[in-house]
Amino acid sequence: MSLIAAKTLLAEALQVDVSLIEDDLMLGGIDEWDSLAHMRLLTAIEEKLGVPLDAETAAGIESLADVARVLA
Amino acid sequence: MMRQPPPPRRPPPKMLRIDTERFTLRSIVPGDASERWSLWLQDPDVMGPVNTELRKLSVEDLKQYILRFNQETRLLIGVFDRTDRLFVGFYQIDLSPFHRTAKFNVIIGDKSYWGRKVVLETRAALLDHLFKSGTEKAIGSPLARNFPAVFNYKAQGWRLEGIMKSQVRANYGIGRLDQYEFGLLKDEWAAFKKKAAK
Repeated sequence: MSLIAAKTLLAEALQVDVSLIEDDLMLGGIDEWDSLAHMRLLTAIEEKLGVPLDAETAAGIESLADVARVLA
Repeated sequence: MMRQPPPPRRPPPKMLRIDTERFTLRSIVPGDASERWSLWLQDPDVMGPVNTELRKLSVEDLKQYILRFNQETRLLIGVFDRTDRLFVGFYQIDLSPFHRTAKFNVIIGDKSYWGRKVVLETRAALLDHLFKSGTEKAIGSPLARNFPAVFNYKAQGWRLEGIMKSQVRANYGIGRLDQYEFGLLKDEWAAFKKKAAK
């Protein structure tokens, strides 16, 4: 999945406009990336992948780049 | 026959009270037991993420539960909204005076407070207090599927120390659940706060 597609997914989870998602955005880097948004994000990733995230993968999702990597 | 002197009376435990910007943290007393709290324990949305069996406890049961905490090494601390003193959640913290560790558990029972950074704000104050009071390491062990809790540990600078595979039996559904072990040393907390202040 491209970085743009990962940005779209992250923006939806954070319920913000995609223009607010910078390339180097990290977990908690903007106010909207809170605990509930993080849950929405990981749930959305699982829906895309069609399988539950394993503990190692879920623990490694801390940035936009991580989202793109997991979905690639 | 000499009369035995009475055993020395233990001083009452020190009751904790800390005000943060939006919340008051204080030791819970039996008078804090309520129907509202009892309903949290029956709510799968609240208890599911911590894999705790749903229980119907009366207010009297809750009072007995509260008395199990000595408030010296086993702390039960309530989170109250400062604007209206509404009870919104609680911490259970186990202190080891020998190892100088503090093991954290937290439940925010009032769902209208979820996603409002309650844990980040209140746990920061508790970490400050405990690290000043002799604790050298804080420990947290959320289930891997408790994504909001995991976020809160990561966003607060805690270090993932390990993943315990199939650590506990699932109370909901079947199978076993993975659990994370997070740690935070006193110096790491100081460094995190310094970095965050920049």
